[in-house]
Amino acid sequence: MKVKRIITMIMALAAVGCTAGCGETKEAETVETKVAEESAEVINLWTRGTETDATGPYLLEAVKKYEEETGIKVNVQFIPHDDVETKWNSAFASGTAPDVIDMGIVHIAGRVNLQHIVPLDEYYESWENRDQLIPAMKDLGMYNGKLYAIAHFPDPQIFAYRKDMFKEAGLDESRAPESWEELLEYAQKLTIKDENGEVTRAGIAVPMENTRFLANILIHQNGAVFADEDANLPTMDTPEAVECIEFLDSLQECSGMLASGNWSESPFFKDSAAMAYIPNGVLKNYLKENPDMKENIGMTACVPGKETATWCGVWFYGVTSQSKNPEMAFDLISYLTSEAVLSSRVEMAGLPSAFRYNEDEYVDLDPEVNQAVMDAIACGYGNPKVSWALLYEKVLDQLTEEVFYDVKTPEEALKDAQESLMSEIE
Amino acid sequence: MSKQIIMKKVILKILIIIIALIVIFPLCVLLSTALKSDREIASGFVSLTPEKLLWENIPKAMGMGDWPRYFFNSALITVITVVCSLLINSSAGFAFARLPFKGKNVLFYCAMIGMMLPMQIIMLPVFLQIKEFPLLGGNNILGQGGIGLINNYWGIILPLIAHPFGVFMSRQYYMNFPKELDEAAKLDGCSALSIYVRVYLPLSKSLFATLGLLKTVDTWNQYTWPLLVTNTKEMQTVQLALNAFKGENTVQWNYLMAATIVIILPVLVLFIFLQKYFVQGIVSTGMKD
Repeated sequence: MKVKRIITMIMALAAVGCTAGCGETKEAETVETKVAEESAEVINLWTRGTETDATGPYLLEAVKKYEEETGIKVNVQFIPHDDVETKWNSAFASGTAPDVIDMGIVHIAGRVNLQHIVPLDEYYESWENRDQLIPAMKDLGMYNGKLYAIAHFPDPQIFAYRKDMFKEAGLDESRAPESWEELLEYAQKLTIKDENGEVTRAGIAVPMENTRFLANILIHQNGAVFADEDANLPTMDTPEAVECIEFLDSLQECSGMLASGNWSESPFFKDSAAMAYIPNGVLKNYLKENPDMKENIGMTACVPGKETATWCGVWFYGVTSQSKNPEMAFDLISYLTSEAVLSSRVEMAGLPSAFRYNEDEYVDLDPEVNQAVMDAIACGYGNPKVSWALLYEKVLDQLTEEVFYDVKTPEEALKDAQESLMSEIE
Repeated sequence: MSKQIIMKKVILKILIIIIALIVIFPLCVLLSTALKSDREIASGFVSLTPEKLLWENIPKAMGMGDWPRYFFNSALITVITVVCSLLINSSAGFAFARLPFKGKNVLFYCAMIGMMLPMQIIMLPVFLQIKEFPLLGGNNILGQGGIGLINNYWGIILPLIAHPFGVFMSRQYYMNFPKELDEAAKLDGCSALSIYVRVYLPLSKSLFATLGLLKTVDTWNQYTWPLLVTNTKEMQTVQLALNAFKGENTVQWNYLMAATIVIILPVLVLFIFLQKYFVQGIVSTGMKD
């Protein structure tokens, strides 16, 4: 009896499960079949991040309006930043890629070489918003002379400093350092060490992880690059690169091991660092939560070296080669980057845009911070657009760690990095 | 009791306490972080006792996204996977342990090879099979033209059911049974199926508890496979939904931890109810990990 009861229960459970599964499956299947059948009127958009990210709610709002206005259904999927490559690779390999993908500078060259995204020049030429796209933003979306991606959200790092700490160290708190020499001098003066020589307050926060961002900033400020995009080759063993990493190492002496790679946990926000390059969004969140600190923090786009430059991550939209209707896909991109949609995003979320028509509106919201952000966008650089950009990031992080921990000298680390990249590329 | 024995017992207990503390510590950090404010977490001062216990972080975290739906998805996928796995694994384990048939060992070792391959290696071929599943998701009989089982519960479930670990474990468990049981059942006129159903299944409580618990934890915690197969928010599982708290530059640690506490509760409760059988099952199959 007991055995029968147990078997009956298991079978019943299985039946219930299967029925529920079938019910849901049928529903999902019906939806997907419908999607396949009506693919001409459906656009699938995959974006990085989450619904609760800064851009998430406004994207969903804009998509909803687009659906109402056009009758075209848009399926939006959010993909975590860390998993985006895995998700894309499996989707492209199986022919289930969406029509539009959101991507960063680092992805462009690789996806072009894999023929996963298509050139947009044809649509761009007849696009009414083309003159409004900030030229630097357009250039970042180009590869091999063709436009593959339309920028919609620049996310630069700006230079921030603590005015109270400047004052305490006898420095002029009304302005940021204006050259590399002054930056190092200020960092040394602002650094506090204990009796064992350990840094207790950093003059400047140099992240011990993900240092590539700062290394990229400094190499551009030094008038050079770590990779030649046209030749698709690394240029890590140049005198400018050595000078850049040596300077980074000197700054790190004024930072110690304090800074982690997690921006929101930067020592700059914990009274443990006097200066830092910080993503503008993270700084704004901090100021929102700590409004009393606004008077204490000074901001500028960057501290120039030979040239003015800072890091500027950019979010782009691209049309995939598997899109069944690329015209419709570009029409969606056009809508999502229109003045009305981006103005609403500027107004409600305070996010900068890659288009001129939102520039004044954005700066007026918070002139001190937002002017620094706009200046940073104008002199912003991202990862080099090379097909081995992800490898480049890893190598750059590794070489800075080797230098910081005195495993190698800057020359040795850069030489090894150059060789390592060359052998991988070959 | 000699002094030496007492000393040994004391040392053993101290060791057990240390190990327990090591295991419990991350859970304490999890709970503590879940109840802290953003400001307290950002301050960098690490303390196990929050300045103020913000229990409201838990409902707030659950209010970010359609969590009832995510729980439903995870529960449905887990229940079907576990039930199907138990039935298939135990019957296959019985066959390998008790039934004589040609090529038994070769088949068994073939199944074991599957256990050696990490999911990452077979992910893409399996993904293609799921996408080319015939006659579903707009596919024709050759599996072309549509998306097959992509973004479908069965697309997540089928590969999770097909794992040979359960077969191996069931075989080990049934091999411990005395052969006299089979012989007595045969004398009573039982067929192989009857022996399995009437004799072996009723004695498989601890096997089912152990295997069921391991499979439940494994399925409930699946991340990469559901990430690949699902394309809409409505199909998301709880593990995927946790990403809502992780941005490009920031992580909402308190909400992430609060949601994690809620997510691990079902598995924790299940373990508490089944721990007696779980230990029995581990002992009787000779498995230690």
